Amino acid sequence: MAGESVGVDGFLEGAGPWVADAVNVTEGGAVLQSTAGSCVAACGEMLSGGAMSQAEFLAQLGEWSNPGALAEALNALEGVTTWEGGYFASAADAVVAAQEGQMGAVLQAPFLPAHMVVLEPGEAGKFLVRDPAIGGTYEVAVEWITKYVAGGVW
Amino acid sequence: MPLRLHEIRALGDDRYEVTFDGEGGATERVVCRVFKHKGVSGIRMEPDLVMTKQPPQINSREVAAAVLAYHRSQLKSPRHEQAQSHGSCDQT
Repeated sequence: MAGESVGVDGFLEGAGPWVADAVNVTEGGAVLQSTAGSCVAACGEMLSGGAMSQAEFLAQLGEWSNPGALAEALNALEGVTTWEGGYFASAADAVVAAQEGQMGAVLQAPFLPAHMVVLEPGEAGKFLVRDPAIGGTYEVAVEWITKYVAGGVW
Repeated sequence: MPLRLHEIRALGDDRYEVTFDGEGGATERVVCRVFKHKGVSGIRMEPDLVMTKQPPQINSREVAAAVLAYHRSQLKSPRHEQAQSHGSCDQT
């Protein structure tokens, strides 16, 4: 579910176009997805705080999974209905969900497979993205959320 | 987007069957469940047409907006109970 390359060598090789609109791109700080279709499983490991590994989520959810299935897996793990997964009707709803706290965000860009990252409120109105496609982090503004975030687990 | 929203039909229990028209007369059907969590409304679709190996064939925001708008219109209807089981909305 990683997008097309932005033409940068090294750890950014698997980056989607959304990375080009970010700042402070840094290697590390995110679980690197183990297969092309394991971004949801990698986000599961990050959202569970490591309580369940990417491999365990992958075994349970399979490749090319989705936010609804991840929400159910996280709720089963935690034993409570903490998470819901799905898609937003507007960019404003995506921003509100992101401001609530850490979430798994589904990113959508034209003509590319969707991708999931972990998104959390940062400093000075910015947000921190933990992107399993690059195993790294970057900072984004509200405009990035309105442009790319279609849904997620929140 | 190659798939265009065609019809929304109420199934009850905040669930809606959504039909899409594709190229060459192809159709696609999903079941969407409307929910509100942490103050934010959303839809969950089964099967999920966004997180797939191929680029999504739908605009998820447009679909979610249409389903939620239809859901709200159903709630406002004085015949809500009947509409939940029999209502439909043709998008074409």
